[in-house]
Amino acid sequence: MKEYLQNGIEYLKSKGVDYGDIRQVEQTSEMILARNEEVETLSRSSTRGFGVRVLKDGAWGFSCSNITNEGEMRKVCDEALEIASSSKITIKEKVHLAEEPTYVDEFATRYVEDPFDISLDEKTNLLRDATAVMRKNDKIKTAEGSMRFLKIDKHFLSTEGSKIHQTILESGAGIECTAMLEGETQKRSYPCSHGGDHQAKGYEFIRSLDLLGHAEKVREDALMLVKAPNCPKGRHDIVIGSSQMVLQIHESCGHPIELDRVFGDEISLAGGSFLQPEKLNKLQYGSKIVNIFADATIPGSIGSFGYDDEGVKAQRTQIVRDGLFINYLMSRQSAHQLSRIIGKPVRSNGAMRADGWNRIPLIRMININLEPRKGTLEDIISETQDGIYLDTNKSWSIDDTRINFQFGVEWAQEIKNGKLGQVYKNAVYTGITPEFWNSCDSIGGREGWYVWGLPNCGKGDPMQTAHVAHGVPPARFHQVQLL
Amino acid sequence: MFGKEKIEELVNPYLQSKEADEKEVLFFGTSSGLTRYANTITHQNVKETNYGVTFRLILGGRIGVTSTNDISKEGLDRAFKTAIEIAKQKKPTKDFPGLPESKPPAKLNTFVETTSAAGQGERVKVVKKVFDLAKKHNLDVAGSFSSGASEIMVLNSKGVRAYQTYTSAGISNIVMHPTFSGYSSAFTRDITSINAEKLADIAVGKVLKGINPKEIEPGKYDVILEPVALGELIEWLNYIGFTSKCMEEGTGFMYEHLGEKIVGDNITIYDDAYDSKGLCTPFDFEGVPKQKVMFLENGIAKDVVYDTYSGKKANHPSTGHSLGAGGMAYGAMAMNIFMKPGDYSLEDMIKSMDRGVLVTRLHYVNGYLHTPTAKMTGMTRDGAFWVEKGEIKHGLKNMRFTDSMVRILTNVKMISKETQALPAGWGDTGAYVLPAIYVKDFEFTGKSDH
Repeated sequence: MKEYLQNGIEYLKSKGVDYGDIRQVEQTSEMILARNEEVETLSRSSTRGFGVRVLKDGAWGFSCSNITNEGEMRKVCDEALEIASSSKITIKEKVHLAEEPTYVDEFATRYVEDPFDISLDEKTNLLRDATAVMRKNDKIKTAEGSMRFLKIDKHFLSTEGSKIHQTILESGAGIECTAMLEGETQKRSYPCSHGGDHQAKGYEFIRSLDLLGHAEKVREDALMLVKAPNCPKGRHDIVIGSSQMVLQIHESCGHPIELDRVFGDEISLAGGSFLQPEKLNKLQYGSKIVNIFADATIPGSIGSFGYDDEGVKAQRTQIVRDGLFINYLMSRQSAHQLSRIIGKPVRSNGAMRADGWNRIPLIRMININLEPRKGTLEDIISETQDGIYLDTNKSWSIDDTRINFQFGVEWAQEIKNGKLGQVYKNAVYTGITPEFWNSCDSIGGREGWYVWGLPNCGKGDPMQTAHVAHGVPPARFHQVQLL
Repeated sequence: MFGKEKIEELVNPYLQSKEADEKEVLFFGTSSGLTRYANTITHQNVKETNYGVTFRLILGGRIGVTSTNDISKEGLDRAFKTAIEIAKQKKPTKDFPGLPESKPPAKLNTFVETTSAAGQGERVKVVKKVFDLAKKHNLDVAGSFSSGASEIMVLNSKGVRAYQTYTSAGISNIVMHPTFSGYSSAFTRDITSINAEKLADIAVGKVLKGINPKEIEPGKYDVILEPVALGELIEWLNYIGFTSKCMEEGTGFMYEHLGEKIVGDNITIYDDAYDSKGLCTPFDFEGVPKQKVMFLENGIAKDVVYDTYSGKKANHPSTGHSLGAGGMAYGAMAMNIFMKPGDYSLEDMIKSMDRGVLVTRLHYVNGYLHTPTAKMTGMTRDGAFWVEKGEIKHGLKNMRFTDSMVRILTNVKMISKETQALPAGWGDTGAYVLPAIYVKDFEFTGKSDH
């Protein structure tokens, strides 16, 4: 453990802080983007620095710097203390933290192939070749492929005695193409949209995606979409594929269970939550077959880690059981606040995460998952008389307390008498969160349950990006409004 | 601030290196703070100092790009070497025209000392004034107040030496009653121009008018969108319609319509980095001087923005809107968007409304529904009101809209003469300056419970 970090902790203790932590984070990332057989972006970036968070006389302060030495550490500590001091004048009551054991530990992502050791030739050729296959039709206007890799090395120390070192590796890739016909454009993506899928794995994950092998289907799907009719409007039973279930659970479950949002801390940007504490153990959030859990221990997922950025150990928490809403994602501060409301002790369940060294940790999603039940996607479709199959997210919008949502998808298909039929484009569905989840009448089994990585969840001011994930199977919902 | 001379001294060895044919360095430095508040207390208060260097090196048309925030000699040496190795392993980029030639940018005053010097203490004093007024009415406040300074320098081996320092300060307030909320905001280079009492008055006034809001059913309504609401729509219109990428991919609503009238003839929208009502910015992240670009002029689709690479592909000169070496694949982006104001005061627009909705702000707008028609969706938030016979009657619970911006901009009946500067999402280097607009038959497709 670096000496200047420990010296910083000792300095904070000498200043009589209630609590203090220091995180040093080093990140290296690589991004490759190919369009129409041309590699247009190939860049590598690195960032390093440390952040000091202090709680003094019940008020928070934070400062940070990219200069990692003893002198700068002292200066940044003093800045954080000064900020805490000036914050004190507006607080109504002191901040308290729920108790938590201290840890001295290490955690590292397991992987087979370090993507930073794979030759650029191999990576760029794969993306170029995939875009070439997608472009084998003159109606394909644009074909893109991308890869992103991230390596994080972080040290966490606290005035309570925790010393944790973690190294995380992430790899992600995806391909997409846009078809154009008579003024209409339609996009199709693989394995999912918005930059593809991301896992806490090495280059072996990229190989497993078989981007080249899927390029032809992506092209043919895009060509089908651009000629397809618009999805019919009205109320329909809908079967949602696993990759669209990611956005559904992310927006309508993951965000409203963030306890800082519930307490109003995020009103200034993304809003609050309808899941107020009086609904805990009372609200029938979904139908009785709906079970949702948070779990930061799932191996190989970008929502997993060893310890959160407050030094709380990664763990599993049931959020919704048999449709009943029973828990939140918490920090040590919000857990203490909740314990005062419900009248019994509550511990943090390890959801505090910071984007780099220059941001404070906030309550963020980890892996937020819908428990699988039974059957494949094909089974659910075969049991559906009249409905529409929807998959691969295109657009997303939800209100400021997470009640009214609307999603657009790339791909829609009629289901008639248990069989897939006509392809549709421009499918958009909308709903009210608890009504929607209470209409869930079928959830796929473990065969179709997949943990998708979503590396661009935004929250906070200044804005932060969290890498989160969702383990979801396909599912069916009854009589949902399509626009 | 690092300073121009110190930056040149730091990076000159790399610009003079013989290891690459062409060399570009982008230096970025920032020192900023943010005071965030919720439940009428300042609950998150942060400060950040950071520097960064991006190298773009060209060897025989092959481009290597690296970024680092380690500006020690060892850190820069490492980043430079990595960029060389990347370039050596890459194939030449077809259509890359080389780095831009040097053209001196305009001299603009974009730095205000009082903004740069403002710290947590100064921000908390301003925020307390908002708290005090809200507390008089038993209302709560959430929001954020940021201020800071940055410096950007672009240098290349063709003589570009573009340097600028910037400041900005932005405040947004959400004042809350259990049944309703109201919003106000300001964004400027000069922190002393922020009038906290006036902003607090605006937000509190909205809340007091809207307590115990009522519902309306989805449908088409006359709607006045205040500047902040219009800003959310223009931000998306920018991403999906005004960039070189939209033109290249054929996905933008102006694609194959340049020269045609596609929206109302009272609509003129453009990018102007020199108009001091916004946040002036003299050059882009390639060091190319910014040019004024007309997107829509009297309803006619005119042009989009370009950088050197997208411009070469489109046979169009760069308009000075590059995102820098790391953003080459994303094309150019406008950051200083204006809509030409009209002739009416906001009060006149409200007085002229027989039945309709006044919208302060929108939330979670998404413009990917159907980009050829710029179809978007989102929610109202923090101040939607029912207007009848020219008067605000009561607050409204939030509504969802789903509508095409092409259709909206073809049905604008009135435009306000007042405009407001809004953050464009690009920190100190951009702002949108927009009026309020009165839209006929704006489509609400859903509603919320609050």
